[in-house]
Amino acid sequence: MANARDIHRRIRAVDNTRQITRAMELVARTKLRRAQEQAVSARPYAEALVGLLRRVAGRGGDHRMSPFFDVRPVNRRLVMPISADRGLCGSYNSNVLRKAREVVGDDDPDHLRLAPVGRKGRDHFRYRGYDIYEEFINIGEEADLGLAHTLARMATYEFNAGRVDEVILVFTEFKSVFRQVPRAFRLLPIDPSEALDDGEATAREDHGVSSLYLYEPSPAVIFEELLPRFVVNSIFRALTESKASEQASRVTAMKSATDNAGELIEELTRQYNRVRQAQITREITEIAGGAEALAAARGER
Amino acid sequence: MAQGRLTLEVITPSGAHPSESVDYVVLPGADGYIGILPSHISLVTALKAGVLSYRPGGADPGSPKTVVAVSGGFAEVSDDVVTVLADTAEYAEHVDVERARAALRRAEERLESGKDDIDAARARTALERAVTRLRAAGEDEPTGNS
Repeated sequence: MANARDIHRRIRAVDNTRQITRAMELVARTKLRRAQEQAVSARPYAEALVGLLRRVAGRGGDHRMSPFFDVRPVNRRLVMPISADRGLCGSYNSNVLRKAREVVGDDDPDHLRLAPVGRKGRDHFRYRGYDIYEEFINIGEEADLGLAHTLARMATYEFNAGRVDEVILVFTEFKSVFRQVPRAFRLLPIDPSEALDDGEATAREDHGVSSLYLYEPSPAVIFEELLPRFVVNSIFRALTESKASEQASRVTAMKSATDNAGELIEELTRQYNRVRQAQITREITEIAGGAEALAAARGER
Repeated sequence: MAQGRLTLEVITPSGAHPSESVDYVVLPGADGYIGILPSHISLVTALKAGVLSYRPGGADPGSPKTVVAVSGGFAEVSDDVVTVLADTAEYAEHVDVERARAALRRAEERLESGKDDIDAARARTALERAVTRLRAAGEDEPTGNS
């Protein structure tokens, strides 16, 4: 049976942990707010970009001519799972990495190139004996446009050089503070239905004044300039979504850790009081017993 | 919308600037600077790194233009709305001259050391960006033409 002092020590330890998890929760909450703001402010650009792409696509000649849309038999894939650098964020990392493993399936190394983004993903795959083709760690606390450019450069190069036939991004979609869903997204070749209309909507729009657009220097050039930016933007969006998800996940994990610590402290305090009470009762009984024994001894004399 | 005014919207991946009513806009188009006045024909253009300038609506014709350094992107003009989709956009008053100078120096050094083509291409864009920022801030180009 634990004695009162041990329980007391335990309570203090749990309380210390609770202070830490509470602090982490607050920090994550602040970061979550920033990440959400970032995701929101990135939206107008993404929407305008897709809008422009759709309007230009119809006049840029055949989009199937562009290397970015080149669908070919998939012999080798580049998979880029986006995870966090740090843990203590609930099941965020394990969920997105499980999804990544599903995507990877049992492709043998000849047909797979893995480029994990985030330390946890790198460690996960390295531990399981996968070859890491390229790694991106220390990705920072906020989605970084520079990182998006770097990733886009690599993905585009690998794809356009024919070294891979498909580029898959695995990231976490931020639905709400309580719900984040891991998703796999084909970055390259660009899926025309993601980026473009089937042409009908464009045609309808063209009946207005907008059919009189002037293109400088030419629709085809603009189209080719738009596509790399579309790739960068898709990656940037995946990064902002992932970051918001990570922070939301961390808030939830730290909040429940703090709550659990509270419950544990309550339970331990009850135990402590019970033990203390028992000890006091025992001491009183002992004193009473001792006093009686003394009284009895005195009486015998 | 006031008669004879343009609405200017500058949008970058990190956010949209509040839209403004302006008298005219000058864009750094892919083939040279393009001036946009109200009732301009619908236009889509690619932008190169350069200085975008405009005069806020109703401002005194002699007053200084507002200047923004942009580094590539697109602009769309339609129904007197100018939408600028820039990779980055930096208003002149926010340009950090010291940082731009430092970036310019770095880019020049990298160009001089001249390793492979990819690095050179990136250094050249960085150089362009730095020069643009300095020009937007009204600083003279320390190295003449880029």
